[in-house]
Amino acid sequence: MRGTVLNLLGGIAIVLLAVNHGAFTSPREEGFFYIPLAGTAAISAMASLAASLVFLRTRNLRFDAAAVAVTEVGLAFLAAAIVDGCCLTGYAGGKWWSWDSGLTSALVCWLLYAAYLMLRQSVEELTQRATFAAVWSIFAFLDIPLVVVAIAWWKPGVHIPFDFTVARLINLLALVLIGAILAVVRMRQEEARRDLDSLRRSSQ
Amino acid sequence: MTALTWGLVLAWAILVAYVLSLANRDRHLRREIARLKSMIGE
Amino acid sequence: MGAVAVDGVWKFYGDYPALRDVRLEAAPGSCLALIGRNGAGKTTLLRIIAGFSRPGRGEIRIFGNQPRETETRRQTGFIGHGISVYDELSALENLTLYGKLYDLPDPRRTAREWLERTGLGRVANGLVREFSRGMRQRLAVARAFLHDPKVLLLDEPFTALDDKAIAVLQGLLRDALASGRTIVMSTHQLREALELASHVALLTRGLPRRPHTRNGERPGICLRALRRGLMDFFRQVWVVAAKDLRAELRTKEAINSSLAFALVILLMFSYAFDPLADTTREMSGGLLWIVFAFAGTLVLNRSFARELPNDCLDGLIAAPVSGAALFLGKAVANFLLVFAVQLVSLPVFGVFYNVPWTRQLPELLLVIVLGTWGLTVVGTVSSALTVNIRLRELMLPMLTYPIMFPSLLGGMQLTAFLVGGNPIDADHFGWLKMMIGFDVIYTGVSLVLVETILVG
Repeated sequence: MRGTVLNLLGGIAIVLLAVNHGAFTSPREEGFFYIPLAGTAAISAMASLAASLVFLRTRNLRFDAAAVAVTEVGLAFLAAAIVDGCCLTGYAGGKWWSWDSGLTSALVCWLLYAAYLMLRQSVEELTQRATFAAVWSIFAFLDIPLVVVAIAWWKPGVHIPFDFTVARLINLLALVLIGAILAVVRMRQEEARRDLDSLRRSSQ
Repeated sequence: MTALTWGLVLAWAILVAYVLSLANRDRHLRREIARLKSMIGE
Repeated sequence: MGAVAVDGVWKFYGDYPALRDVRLEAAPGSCLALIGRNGAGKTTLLRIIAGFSRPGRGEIRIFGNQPRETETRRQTGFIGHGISVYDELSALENLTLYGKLYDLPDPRRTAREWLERTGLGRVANGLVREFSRGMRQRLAVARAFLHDPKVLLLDEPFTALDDKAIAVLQGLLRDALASGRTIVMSTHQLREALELASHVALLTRGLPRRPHTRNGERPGICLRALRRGLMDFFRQVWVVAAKDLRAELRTKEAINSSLAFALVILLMFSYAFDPLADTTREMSGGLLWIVFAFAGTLVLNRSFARELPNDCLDGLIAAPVSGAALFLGKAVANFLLVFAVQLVSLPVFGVFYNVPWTRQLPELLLVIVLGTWGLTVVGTVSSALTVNIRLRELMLPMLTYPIMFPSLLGGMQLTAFLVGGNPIDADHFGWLKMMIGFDVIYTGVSLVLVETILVG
């Protein structure tokens, strides 16, 4: 049942993307893909915070699996956004990195959540890893508005305004669906990995 | 190809690379589960 | 009501149950010996009873209260695998520290009495790092008994003790039992255990359950209690901070390397920029804060790492000190040490790069204080997170610097502006508010979450 739902969502996402990309092959508006990618990453950050808070409340490792899944997927989307944004600024101004405030904020946020994944890799014990990661997810999320505001003050002038046209909204919806599917897959892997470790310990 | 198109292509490349890495992880997990099952079976 | 009641406790490491439905009770004045094979969970259970970690399910009550409550910790003494005393401090300083943490009326006098009692009176002023193993063990015993606890939790207390230390400990335990204290100990040394134990529990599933009553009273809140609570809190903060400062000033490990590192970075930057050019002044804010951040990391790395030897962190967690007070004490000590390094680096920077740093000195110092407090708070939390993990020295900067970005940016902008001789104007006041906001948010969140980091 769950597989059917995921396939259906994936199908919807592909149709949306195909239609949108086809309709906008030439000329393509700037931020056509960059803004939805960044928007999906932002939604991932909120989902990561929610999962982390619920984990700290309930100590149910399912929520830890959810947190790492959405964070990792969000990081992939944010990396894609940064690369796309880089090409956009190169196209517009001839400079590959224009220190556009949106792009620079995205890079710092990427580093924040990359540190989250590195922290997880460094902690051996599962419950401690989940606890530390949840705490760090809260720290990272609180920093996002501060980073965005600080960089906007530092380098005023956004080359690509963060607003949503119809095309961008359609892409956002499609990417959120894809992101959700990838997060579910990743979450299942995390739970399988945990079961594996548990089996291994029981068999010793 | 214009830089706009390059941006789109590279962004998709990153997403596809991530999906492939998930698939690779899946493969590793299945292999480990099979190995552990055979160990416990012994 | 049992002195120690363990009711249906489970402990999971991931999905693996290290403890399964453990139920036991130690009556007041009894000695319960926990016996079990290696890996049975004896240490895990004792550490949960002592409040070092939380059970996954079930509950623990010590005289009807939770293990982490302040009053419970005041009444509990713990000897674990580590001795929980600081190598850089003397025997007397160690016991006086714990006397202050346990809020004894005359910590120094009580410390001296216990040193005499454990045969360490003549080496009271000797540094612990110079002690033999037997002497260190006796000091650990003195630390556990110092505050006259009603409940003693001992994890393999006779392991690695010399004969003198065994004799001292057995004598103390017999006296404790005779005066109605309760002892729970895990041990492999059955002979010593069975000489003292009134009860033995084999750690396995399904131990007999004894009923216990919950303490249903809720503490009332009144202003006097709140004021006393705040005074106690800040007293504890100062005790922890003073301990860290004393230990660091005695060894000067972190502060010396931090100062040397600051000097090295200042010199290295001169290879890239003409130190005397006017344009360098525009970059002065950035250069200075990079020096501060990098050099400060060396101090912050030591923060919780100094608690690792001898399991000193266990001693602090077992003491009736809130996680928030422990964190704030360490943050205050870190701040003072990092600030001291900065006070030396700043004039050196001014001299090397011909930067007029004294023009707006009060505002500059305010900016440095705000930025350093933010760096210290985030760095101290990072230190707590990374203390027991692989690649600790690499992880701390990876965690700290991205979070610090807004505050560092503010510090850099304001510093560059101020060393140009300009007072803070309306345009730049926003950066000051940003730095204050950052400090308030992260101090608050850290105070709330630090107990979760330390205890789980």
